[in-house]
Amino acid sequence: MRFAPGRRLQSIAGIALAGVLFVAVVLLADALLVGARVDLTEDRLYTLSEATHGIVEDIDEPIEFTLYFSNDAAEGVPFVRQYAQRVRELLEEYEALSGGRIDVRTVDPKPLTEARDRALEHGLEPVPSGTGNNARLFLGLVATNSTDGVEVIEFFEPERERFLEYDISRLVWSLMNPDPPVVGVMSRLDITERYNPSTREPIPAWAVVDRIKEFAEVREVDTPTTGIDPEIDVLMLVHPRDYRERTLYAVDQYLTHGGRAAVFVDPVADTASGPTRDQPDGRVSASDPGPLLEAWGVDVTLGHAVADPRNGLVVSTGEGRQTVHPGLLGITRQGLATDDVITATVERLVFGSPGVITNAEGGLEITPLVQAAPSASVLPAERFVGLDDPSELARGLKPLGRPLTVAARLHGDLRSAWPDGPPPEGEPPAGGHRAAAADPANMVLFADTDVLSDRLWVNERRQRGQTVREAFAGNGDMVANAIENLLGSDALIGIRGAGTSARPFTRVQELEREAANQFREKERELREALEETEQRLEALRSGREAGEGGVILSEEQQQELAAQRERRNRLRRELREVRQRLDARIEALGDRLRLLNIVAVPGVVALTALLVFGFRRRRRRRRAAAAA
Amino acid sequence: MRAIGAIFRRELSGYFVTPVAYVFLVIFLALMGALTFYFGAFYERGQADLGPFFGLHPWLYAFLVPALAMRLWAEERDTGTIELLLTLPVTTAQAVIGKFLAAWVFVLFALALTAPMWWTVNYLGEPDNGVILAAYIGSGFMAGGFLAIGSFVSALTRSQVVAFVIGFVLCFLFLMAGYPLVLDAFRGWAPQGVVDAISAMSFQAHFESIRRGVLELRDLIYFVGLIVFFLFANVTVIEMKKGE
Repeated sequence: MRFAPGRRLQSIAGIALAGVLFVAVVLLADALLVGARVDLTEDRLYTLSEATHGIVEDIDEPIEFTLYFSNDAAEGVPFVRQYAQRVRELLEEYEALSGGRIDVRTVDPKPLTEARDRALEHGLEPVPSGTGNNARLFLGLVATNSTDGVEVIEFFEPERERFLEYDISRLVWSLMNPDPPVVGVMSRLDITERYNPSTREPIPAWAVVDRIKEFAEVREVDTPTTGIDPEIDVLMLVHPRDYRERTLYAVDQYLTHGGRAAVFVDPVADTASGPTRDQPDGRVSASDPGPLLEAWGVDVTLGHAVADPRNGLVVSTGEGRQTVHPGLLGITRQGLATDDVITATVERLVFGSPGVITNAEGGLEITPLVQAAPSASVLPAERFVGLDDPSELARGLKPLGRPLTVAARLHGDLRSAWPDGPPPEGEPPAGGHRAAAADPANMVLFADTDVLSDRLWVNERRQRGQTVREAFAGNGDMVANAIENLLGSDALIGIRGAGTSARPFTRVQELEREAANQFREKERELREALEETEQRLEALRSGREAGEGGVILSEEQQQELAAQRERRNRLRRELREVRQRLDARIEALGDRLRLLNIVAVPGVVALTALLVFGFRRRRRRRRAAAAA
Repeated sequence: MRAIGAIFRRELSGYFVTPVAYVFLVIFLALMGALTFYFGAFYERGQADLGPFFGLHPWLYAFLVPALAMRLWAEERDTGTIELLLTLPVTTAQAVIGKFLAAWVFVLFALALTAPMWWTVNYLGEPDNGVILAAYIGSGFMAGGFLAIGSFVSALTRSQVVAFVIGFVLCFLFLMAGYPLVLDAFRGWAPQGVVDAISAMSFQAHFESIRRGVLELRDLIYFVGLIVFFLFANVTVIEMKKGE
């Protein structure tokens, strides 16, 4: 049979046609099948949460999302392209969910175009693309609605991927709630701006208040009061003490009527403690929130504060010496809840002698946000005041060996501290007295007020006649995150960062921990031995000086000295060996696993092959022999 | 269906008659393990996920799968057994599918033998096993895609070496389709739509998308479409050559 040239051509044409069809199907599927997926990740990383569903369902005015992405400029930056794709697809899922109330457009703000001007007008912030041509990359979102509302995400930072959904949902929510939020400040510390009556000059507000003013109106709550203005969206209650019962009752009823609060209580409010003209010995200013905490079923140690010699801040003492202050806790990411939007993006916090938060049975549920390290312990509050040398706090301090919660979210069924009705001087609010909140309450509780004070997180510097504040810790961000989070809807508060990316080798960590413990044990023994030897030497020397044994040591003494030295050397050697042995254990585990995966598994396959072929050959030989 | 089954069984058992299959398995597993641990620094990075492991798959496949696929048709043609095969009461399409499925199942078997890696990561920490499952599924489909390409190329030539080299290059191009290496060759003259279409053909991008832990319909459509297209081309080429 001859193959006609016509059929050959036909075949090639057929393949080409199939190729075009294949490409078309793939392109169509790419464009049309967004969202047809099974999310197999443990934390459902790629599935919109219930909270977002709720928010999107409530949209009344149509919203337009304009995603500004520099497609051209991002050509050489694959990971930004990938992230832009993720952002776009997430936005498209909002669109699909909204049933036509959200419209998504993507615009490439190329240089010298109107689109670029618009993007800049809305305050989008391009970043350098990092490639040679000095291009600047846009990856930001402008959301508008028909009532002239505009909300913007200046730049989608890939590091915030876990909060991508939170950020977008929050943006939608702000668009639907255009009135500027109001934060009420009720404080016994002078945190808001005020006038110095003697100099008649203003004393600026604490930096943290300025930080909050960036997104909310800050209103001071005058006390005593008989009711908190219901216009206040979040109440910031700082260092409550010496409040009259009616004021506390007003706070209580504000909360049972669905108000939200960020509460700061402190066993030692540094800014209000210490020697004063009236009390030169120093006094402790501890918070006293009356019956509130007890009613919530939450306990804060208001007579004891946390000290941690290992993570204390280094401060200068009066004589210009540097020393560790165990009361000023530097808390790094290990002590922060990495899946909570309040603390996830914060690197480091500084707390000043905070208390410890625990909850009683049946009380509000507490979710730790910030925890002091297990090397910390608690001391009576008086010890923290009037310190000449802060390092003396470390003396005799025994680590408690467990993390101590110093800031937490409170959530759950809130009961009034006045279950039987208002106190004699209290006035029930407009909605009437409530013995319990109707909906689960959301609060954030900090067992410290110093965390707010400038000296624990900003440096001030004069520059061209202006005061410039530079943050050296994330305190301001954390407080702002907390308030911002509380300002959102209940649903928004519920969105957690999707999954933590860090999944360490727990088994290796265990070995490391074990190693560290054993090492510490040996180290302690060694140090004791050294001290003992030193003491012996000292005793011998002083004995000699006193002329008891003369210049020459007795044989017994010499022997003892030699024994001590021998012991010291042995311990040093052991210490080294412990270190090496423990490192070796971790390496050995790695070696075993390498061996299993690289040698053992292929080895078993090879062995199987040998057996199979050996068996076959024997059978063949036997057959051949039988045949012969 | 029965014809496909017969070819499939004949082919699959054929793998284990010669040492070829065992050699492939040993090399595949040893390379996978060694590169994961040494090149990917799996143990040192201390993260309980199989990122370094699955990151290797596309590259290892681009190299090893053409080696496995090169003999599928080139050998039959070279030894003349293709005549015999095609005189059997099976259609060319049945033979192509049967052979492909046997090779695919064999590769999936090799993939299954990497289970100790999965055990290792679960022993060391608490990985997201959903992500690992998705990555295994994606890897299996990707292997199928490479295999379909290899099978098609094998049908083009008598020489297994030529089949391997062309197969490798083609697989590599599909792998790099989303990268400047390939895109730059088109950017100068082809319209943007064509460049975008080429970049949408990238193995890498579709595998990465599944590897996150999300099985997307469009990624599956891509891999299945790719397999169907190359098997179709495979059948067409054999039919064409049969006539010559």
